[in-house]
Amino acid sequence: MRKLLVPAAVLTLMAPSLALAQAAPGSVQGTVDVTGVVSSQCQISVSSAVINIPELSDVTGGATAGQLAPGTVNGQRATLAGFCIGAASTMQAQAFPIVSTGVGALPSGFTTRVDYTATATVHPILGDISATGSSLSAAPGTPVTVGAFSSDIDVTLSNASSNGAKLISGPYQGSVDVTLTPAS
Amino acid sequence: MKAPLMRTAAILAGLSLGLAAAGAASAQTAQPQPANFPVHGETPQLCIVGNPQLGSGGLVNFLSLNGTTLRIDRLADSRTLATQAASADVTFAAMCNFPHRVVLESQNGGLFRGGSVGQPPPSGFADGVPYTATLTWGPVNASFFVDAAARKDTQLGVAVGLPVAGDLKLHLAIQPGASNLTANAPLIAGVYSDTLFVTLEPQ
Amino acid sequence: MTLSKPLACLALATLLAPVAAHAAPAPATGVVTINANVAPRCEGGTLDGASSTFEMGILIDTSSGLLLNDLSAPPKTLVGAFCNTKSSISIIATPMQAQSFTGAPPVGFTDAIDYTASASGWTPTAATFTTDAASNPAALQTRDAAFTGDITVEVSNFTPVGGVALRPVADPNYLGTVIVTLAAVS
Repeated sequence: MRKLLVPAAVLTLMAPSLALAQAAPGSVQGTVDVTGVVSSQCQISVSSAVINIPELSDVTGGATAGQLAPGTVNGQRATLAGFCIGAASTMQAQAFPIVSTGVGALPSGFTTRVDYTATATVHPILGDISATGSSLSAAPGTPVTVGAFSSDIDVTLSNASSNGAKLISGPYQGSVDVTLTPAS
Repeated sequence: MKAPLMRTAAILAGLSLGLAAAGAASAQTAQPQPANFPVHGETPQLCIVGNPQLGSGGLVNFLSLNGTTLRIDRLADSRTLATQAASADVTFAAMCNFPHRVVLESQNGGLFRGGSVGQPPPSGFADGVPYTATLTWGPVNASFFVDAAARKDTQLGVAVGLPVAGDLKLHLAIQPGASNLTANAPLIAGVYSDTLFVTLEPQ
Repeated sequence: MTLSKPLACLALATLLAPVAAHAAPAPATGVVTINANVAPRCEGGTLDGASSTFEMGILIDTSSGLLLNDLSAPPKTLVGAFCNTKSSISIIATPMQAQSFTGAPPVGFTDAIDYTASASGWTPTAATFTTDAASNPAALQTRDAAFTGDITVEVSNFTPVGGVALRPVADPNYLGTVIVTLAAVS
């Protein structure tokens, strides 16, 4: 779990130079203007979730036997939660491929990698907003503006593929990072 | 004197081909399922009888086996004209791969003269010679007495309850003085012969 | 009493909390972890052709009754077999036995035919099994890594059980079986 920097609310006492008021003879007057600023911030209150997929491959036989069965990944869902204050806050999703490690040279026709698309959706008052990321890219997906909201962050998987290759047996792991970036 | 013998009987029983077994199941899933391949063939019913060979018993009063013809040296005594003893052992390489029947068939019913069929011999003369064919084949030992009582086809059939492969043996024996009249009756002149068929066939 | 002196100006310094209020606010990240698995398994492929039966036809030379010495049948192929991990292939065969004949075959005859079966294409050395061999060490072969390919099964070298001079008894159904098994090795 990442440590969050919580910027403290800053209350600035601003006291420009005292103006010499035109006081009534015999009286003095001082002025203090008080202004408060709340900086934009985002927090993730539920910052981790797990999707378990006991069997990735197509066990039904036929032309796609042994390849990824897309239905084992597509539609999988997990829920985080968070909020942002700041009308220009953004969200982005980064999908990391589901891979098996420690396998040596790959025989022809086999792979240890499943690619997919992750979609993160928040629920501000004015309507859902989603950001997507594909594991085919090493970089996060395009950020979207979510503005101020406080809701679940639903993460769903789609578009899964092993690119026509059969999956090597073994444990596999992947992940989706959902990042909220505050902005005012 | 000629005594032509047997014919080869080879019988093939045509049998329908075995049905192909159901297609092999392809092995699937984590539980390996074997792929089955039946191996099928058939052996049809078959009998084979080869050509006669002289057996180990040797020839008595027989000259030779020429092809399928056994020649008697002197059928009749030159003084008395009575039948002289003769014997021969003949073997056939044979086999039947199924339970079958062996049939000995005498075409003439005895050694008879080739011509003058229907004309009785002069009184006191015999015109037919009986003989015995003793068969040894697998578990079978059978004696076939060809009695020359009448000129007609006669046969003896014996069931053989199992497949047999090996030598089918015939011991042919003509008794001295044998005739279809009285013992030691003189034989009218002529060429005496018979044809003996050995057949292996389904029961 | 009049105060003629103006009040001293108080110039208050701007009080600022020592926070990076002017630096960019920090992003927050949540992580969904995906734990998945692919179990070890094999699929034996699909038979190429209509029948899995090796039809050897008439087994004997009809002029002698002896077993033909050139019995052969086209090979059969399992197409698209695969294992997603290390695997073994094994083959076993049973002699062709006359199905209707009962009891012991008579002298000079046999009621069963031995042969050799092989499964090739999966491993560098084919898996082979000979039905009258004292042992068949080559019947099990191993492949170290995942593989996908075709398996070809063949039968050959037919001989009468008990000796080459024995004739097969008549029977319309001499039947043996070859079984080829692919298995994942844990």
